[in-house]
Amino acid sequence: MTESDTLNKELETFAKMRDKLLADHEGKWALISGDRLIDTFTSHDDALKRGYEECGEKSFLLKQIKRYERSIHLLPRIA
Amino acid sequence: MSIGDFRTLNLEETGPLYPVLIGISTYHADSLQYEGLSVPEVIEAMALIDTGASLTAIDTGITDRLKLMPIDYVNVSSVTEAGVRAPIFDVDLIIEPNQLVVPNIRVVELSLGGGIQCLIGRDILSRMLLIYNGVRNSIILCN
Repeated sequence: MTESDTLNKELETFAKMRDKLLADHEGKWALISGDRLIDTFTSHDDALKRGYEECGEKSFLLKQIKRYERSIHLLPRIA
Repeated sequence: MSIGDFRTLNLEETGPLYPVLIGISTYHADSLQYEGLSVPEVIEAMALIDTGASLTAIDTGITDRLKLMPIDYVNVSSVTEAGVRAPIFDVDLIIEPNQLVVPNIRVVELSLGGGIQCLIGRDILSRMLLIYNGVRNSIILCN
């Protein structure tokens, strides 16, 4: 698996479920492995812990359910 | 209160640098140990305290050495660049001078360069008091 393939399946699954997740769980964290939503969580910590318990070394997606996804902002270093 | 005081020779020139240790997240380490697998050693790194960064970032070399798998992707933008898709990883960050552990945090991977392996962003600073003492060439972080 190349790096660009990593989480593609999970991101596709999230996109398919997004409207339903927004309606029922906005603000929570969605834990997805492959095409399966494992659960939603109020805390990122709980979701991450469950991710490793359920998936071990298999990849999983941990994404916050938001209406608008904000960019991470960085200021450029001058020197 | 845990107080870490780190002095540099010339704070104006180097910027607010702070030594840190970066390791896989506590939950990831627990999982590896449960499976009987070895846990990668923590990596010594030099971090720049960056109040302009909304999220903490680590250099690509660090994620390779720790053999991390991404758990998400985000768009990263700056004043000069439009959004670039970048992977998110989970790590433990240890602020060295006071051995302050920040466990299981999300960090974005970027190619940082310039001898900097980590940017400490506002997600971590929101939990701490930061004092930039230009007169003494020292940076103090406490929680």
